Amino acid sequence: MASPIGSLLWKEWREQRWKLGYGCGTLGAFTAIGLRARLLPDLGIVFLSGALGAGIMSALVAMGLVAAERDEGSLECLLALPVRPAVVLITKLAVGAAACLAPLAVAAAVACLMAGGREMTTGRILLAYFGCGEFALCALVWFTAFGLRQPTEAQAVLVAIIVFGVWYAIHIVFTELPYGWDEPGALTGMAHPFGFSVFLTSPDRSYSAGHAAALLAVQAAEAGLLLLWALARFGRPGRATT
Amino acid sequence: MRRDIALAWKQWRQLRWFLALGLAGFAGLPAISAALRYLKHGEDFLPDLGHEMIWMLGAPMAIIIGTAAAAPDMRDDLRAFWGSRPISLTTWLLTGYLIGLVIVVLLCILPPAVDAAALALTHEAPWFYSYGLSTMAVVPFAAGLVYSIAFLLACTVRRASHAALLSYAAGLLVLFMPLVMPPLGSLSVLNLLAESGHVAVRPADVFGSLGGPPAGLRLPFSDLYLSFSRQYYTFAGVMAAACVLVLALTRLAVGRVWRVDAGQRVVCWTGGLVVLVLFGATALQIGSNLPVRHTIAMGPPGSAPTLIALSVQASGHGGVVLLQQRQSSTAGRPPEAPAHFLRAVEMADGSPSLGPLVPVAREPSSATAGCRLLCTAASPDRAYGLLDETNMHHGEPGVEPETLVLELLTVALDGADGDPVIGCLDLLDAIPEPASFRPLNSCAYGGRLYLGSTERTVVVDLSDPDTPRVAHVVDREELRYYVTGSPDGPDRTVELRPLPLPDRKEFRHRVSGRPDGPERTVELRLLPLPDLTPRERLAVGLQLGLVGTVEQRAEGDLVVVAGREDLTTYRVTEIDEERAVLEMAGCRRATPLERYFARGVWDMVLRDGLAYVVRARSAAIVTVYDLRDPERPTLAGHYAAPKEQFDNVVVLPDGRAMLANRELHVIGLPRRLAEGE
Repeated sequence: MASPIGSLLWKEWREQRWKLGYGCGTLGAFTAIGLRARLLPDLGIVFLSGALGAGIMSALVAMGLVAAERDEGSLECLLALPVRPAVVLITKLAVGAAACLAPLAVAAAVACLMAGGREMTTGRILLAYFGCGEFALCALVWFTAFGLRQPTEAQAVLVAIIVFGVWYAIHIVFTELPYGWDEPGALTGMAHPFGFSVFLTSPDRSYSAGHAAALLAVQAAEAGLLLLWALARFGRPGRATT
Repeated sequence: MRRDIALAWKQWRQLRWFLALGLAGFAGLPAISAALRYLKHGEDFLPDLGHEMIWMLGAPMAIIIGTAAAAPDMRDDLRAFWGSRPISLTTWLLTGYLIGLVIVVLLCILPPAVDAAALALTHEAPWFYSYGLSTMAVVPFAAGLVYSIAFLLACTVRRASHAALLSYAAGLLVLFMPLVMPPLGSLSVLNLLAESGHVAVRPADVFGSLGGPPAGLRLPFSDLYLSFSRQYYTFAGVMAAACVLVLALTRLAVGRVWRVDAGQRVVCWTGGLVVLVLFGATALQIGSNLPVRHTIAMGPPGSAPTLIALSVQASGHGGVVLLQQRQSSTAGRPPEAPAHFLRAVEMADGSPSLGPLVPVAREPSSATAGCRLLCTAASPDRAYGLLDETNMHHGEPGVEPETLVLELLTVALDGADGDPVIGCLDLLDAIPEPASFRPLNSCAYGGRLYLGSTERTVVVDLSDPDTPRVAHVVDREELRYYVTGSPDGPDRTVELRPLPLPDRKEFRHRVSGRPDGPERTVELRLLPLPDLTPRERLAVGLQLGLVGTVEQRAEGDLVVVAGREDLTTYRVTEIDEERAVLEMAGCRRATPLERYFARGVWDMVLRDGLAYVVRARSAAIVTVYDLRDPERPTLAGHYAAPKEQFDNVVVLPDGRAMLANRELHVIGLPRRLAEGE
């Protein structure tokens, strides 16, 4: 007899696998067309497929994790299983993370095969997609945490758009500040989810390994806090209904 | 009537928050940005981002409003309620539609109007605020159509979120399909915004100088008129008609209760496929489709690309590359002189290999030293470097620019010991023009080099390859031709066209009075170059003639002019010692996407009825045109290398093309051309 966690994983996989296939197909095709056509420098195509793909896939996955269950009325059944609610959410997030990261891995593989060593070294391409993957995971946690109590998928994705809009507004405002918010070592830049962009900078604006490690640590701590907040709220009754 | 007003009031209350939110975003954020710029940099307080935000976010806002205007009332329970009210379906739909449309139009007009007003108060020249006015005139039509489609989908798709996402896909098609499909180009909002002249702000006296009364809308508080092109009226008419059509379709769909149950998968795959179709169509139109045969790094393998190729020239063995060593700059110190090298490219068994580095320059004394490369097929072991140096960095303000060095260096490529520079021909006496306006064209033809400046053409004889000598100096003052600007004005814009061929609109307008196309027949005066047949003089003269972003070449009876916007072919119908008469055969206009991604023409080679054109903007693009039927020039292939900057192209005997910058690229022809179709 399968364990409850195994069953949960299988259920999530069945629900999310089309998103994984969709992401792999579209991101892989987009990357291949862009790198073959060379409309933009390779870094531009890597940025478009990686960063935009990460943002879109994380929003798409996040809207289907909890809000969809609530909308269909199946969340109560899940919470009634003999596992802690936190385990249910973590299982969902694990499968969601796979659905976010697999398309980026496919795009990275396509980029390395088609353009490795052409304008960017294979190492830089992989590093850029690593940064995009980090952004995808952060965005998934942010979108899930803030959309956790939404009764429908539409409202969950609306919350994701609002979160992204707030990030962007903060980015615009802080960019105009005089002390260089995104300079290496600035905590504001490291705490901002757009901080992953250092992994996409050109070799002329390189960053130190220490800066990258500090950025990852700050963003991991931030995501961890958000995850704890989400876990604390997950078992409680949600908003009424649509 | 009271029922209609009540319905409108209900719809207004439902949608007014979108107006407030949109105005706060589209006018408020630019104001915040302007305030921060004012506080940080002390610039003028100018909220000039409103029109850009409308460009980017106007269509998404229209989709949200379109969905919000229709979806709430389309829920099954409310639909039944409205069906029971004594109000016609048409009135109900039309009221909801129009209130939303008014909000969309207000959102597209008010922020750019604020921009335009702020800029008009601080800047007198109309072009400062013409972007805002263009946005106000163009974007509402496209946003209106996107809104109409969103309204239709919200009425027919069961779930509002899915309707909105499908609307995004449809909006992408409305906005971008005309951009990537050339036949639909006149319906593209982006083309109208990017191309100048469709919405123009002109003072009244301009119309008088054009011989007509003022046309267009007079702007308030000014003597300026807003005039529109024919393409604008076509665009506006089609967009308005499409809105009416979509509204009629909506009425039909709601009346017959057509409901589509589009799931999340349908929505996602639709959106993804639309993006891929648009991206793929763009890539097919302007992306690389020529096969890359070889790429070789210019420097040692694995090293940073400090050796950059400036140009590549054909030689007897294959080619020669002129390289410049990139110097590191140090703060507080003047830039060091660039070091130049030559490197032979041997084409053995069709594969290129690079020869040893051969230093060219003889102690250049400043960073203003430049070098260009000339080679001839007759002397494959010799290359000629035209070294020039000006006083641009030495001169104090007010000091006339002066040419300090202009030498033709003879360089031995055969690896002989000792100084590879085996000869030096001083050309300062032959070409003494000041450096500021000394565009110098050069070409090798037969056993001679031709150097063309604004004043004269110098012929260098290479009958002894090691000892070049000046054979002739031909004065070409009489062949000056000014196209734009006043030659005597303080800000003169001079373009020398000793052999004028039509390309630019200004030129066409001035010469032929017909701004809609180039002239059919052009008569050229040939340069009085000795020892050449008239056809050779035509070919050399065309190559030396133009300076700037236009190139013209001749091969047999075919003359080709490649410019920013078109490629024009001419046939030589008459030619004698004095003149050549050309008749236009065909013309290929660049598509908007081609114009966007590649502008100036840097080089062109004609070979066997194919034109290899090097264009550049942010990326180097080589385009091959098939001109074997000169009346129908067709596109045969592209090659784009975004990180590279190609100065010129060399065509090898088998039709492959050789380009060089950070790397040496050898590209092939499309299969149908390579197989000699």
